[in-house]
Amino acid sequence: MPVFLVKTLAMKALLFIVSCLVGMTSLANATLPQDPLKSSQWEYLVPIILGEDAEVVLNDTIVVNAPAAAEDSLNVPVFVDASSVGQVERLVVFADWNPIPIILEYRPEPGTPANIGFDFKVQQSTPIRAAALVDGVWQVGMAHVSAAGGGCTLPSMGSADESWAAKLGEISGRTIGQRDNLYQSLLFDVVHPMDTGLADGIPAFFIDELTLTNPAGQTIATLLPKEPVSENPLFNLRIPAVDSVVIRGRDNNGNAFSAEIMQSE
Amino acid sequence: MNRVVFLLLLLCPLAQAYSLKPIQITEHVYVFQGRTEHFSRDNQGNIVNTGFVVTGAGVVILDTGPSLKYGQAMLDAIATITDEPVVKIINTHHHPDHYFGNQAFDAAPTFATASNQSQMQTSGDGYADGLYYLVGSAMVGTDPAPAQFSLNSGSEKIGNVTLKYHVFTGHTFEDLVIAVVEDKLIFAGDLVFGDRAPTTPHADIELWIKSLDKLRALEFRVLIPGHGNIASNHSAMQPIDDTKAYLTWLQRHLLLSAENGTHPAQLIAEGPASPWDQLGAMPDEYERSISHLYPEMLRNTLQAPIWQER
Ligand SMILES: [Zn+2]
Repeated sequence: MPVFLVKTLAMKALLFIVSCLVGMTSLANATLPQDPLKSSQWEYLVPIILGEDAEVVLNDTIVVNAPAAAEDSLNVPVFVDASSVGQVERLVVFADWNPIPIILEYRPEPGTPANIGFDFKVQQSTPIRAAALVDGVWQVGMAHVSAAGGGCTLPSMGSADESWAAKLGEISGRTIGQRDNLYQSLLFDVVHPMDTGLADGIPAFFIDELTLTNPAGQTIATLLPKEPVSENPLFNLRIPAVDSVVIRGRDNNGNAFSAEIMQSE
Repeated sequence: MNRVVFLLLLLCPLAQAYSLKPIQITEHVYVFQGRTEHFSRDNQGNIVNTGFVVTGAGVVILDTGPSLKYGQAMLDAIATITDEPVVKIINTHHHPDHYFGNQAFDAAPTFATASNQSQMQTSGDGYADGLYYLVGSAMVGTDPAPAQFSLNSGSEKIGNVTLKYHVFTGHTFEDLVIAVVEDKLIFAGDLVFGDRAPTTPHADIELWIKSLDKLRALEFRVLIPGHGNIASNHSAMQPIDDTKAYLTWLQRHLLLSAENGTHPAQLIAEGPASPWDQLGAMPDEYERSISHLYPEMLRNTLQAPIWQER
């Protein structure tokens, strides 16, 4: 049996035992809406990811764009727009059937819309959920991606090639949209292998926090990527218009990096 | 497809995997025309045009389809046309739907250009995994059989027929086009798609467009595209022009979208513009092309920050 499967099964067993001990499973699922995608993971994952007594409603105004079929299991593009549901405190994106379900969490500050585009590694066909926490209620939108898969258990390209090390944490980016607009798009990528730890002999090595601040030092948004985010992640965010953005990041090995992206002319 | 036929197919899931009908195109050339779709269980991967030339001194096979069973069905169908033995198999390029049937032709040598031979050797197993996933049981028994011998541009006479080989580039690194000189026929491989969206997993769009211009200058009356409808006489150039028009639009549309910072998942959600959305295998091929071509274009628009620390 592949190592990742053993790990996943062991993790599931542990979580199951814990949830039984706490005795909350039946309560937690009492008000959970039926899953339109009919995944058996839905009732199991929601209490673990969103909380035992999370209040959950489905909301199809939350846009979750993703290809119906993944052409490249290492880079499946997803774009989430949860701006229809008001000021989002936390946006959690997860894939039911990935060995590590949570792909990332996005925390836009007041005034920043909950819009984010990224790529992730898919292991097999799976629903993708975007859960937006607004006034204590999780509003959930979703999409389905079919995939031949294997993305999560493949080593990164970087891990096979030492040249990335010299560029680790290197950021490139730009903003799109005029200075006098209310909002603009911020596009940036970071050189990083984003290894999941599920490929044989390669430990998990991934960016786990990115913070964006404006020139006045105020936080615009915080991004908490997890292992499934693709190698050399490219993010597309919608932010209030600013003259420049400072991006500060760190990975799970304690490497820190930062850069300032100037408003393009 | 006729609804009654479709229902009958549903009722007989164990029916013969492929029913290939040879269509005589010119005096010496026959074609098996595939559906203008993406791979699926329903079409069993029969989405490609393969062909054969009855030379008078043996049969030359032009591409061999997506599976062992497809190759076997080709052999069965050829036997209804001629008693001549198969003497040569030519693969236009290394994409699996053009050579996975090689396995069925173990009595004759298989040929491709040298770079395609080595691509078949390195990527065959990966393609096989992909096709088993998409096509399923029709693939049973298929083991990639890379072309055994290399072939270059040039010409040769076999029986009553002169075959001329042209090596172009763009769809893949080397795209072989076979001219059947006496029949004024061109077997274009995947450089040309007829009413079917072009596929781009190894494409260089700019080189591809240049190759189409060169292809247009060759002398022919009939053109067999790698996928889609066969074209002849006054409309023989049409699939070349259509393929060029689509590729030109695709390249421009993706570059503009990258400049605007559009996310690939948003592009996929928008779908291909009219009239390209009417092509066969849409929107699947457009979505695949975004994955093949767009990430690099998008990253190329990024700039160095004004400062950085790491
Ligand atoms: Zn091809």
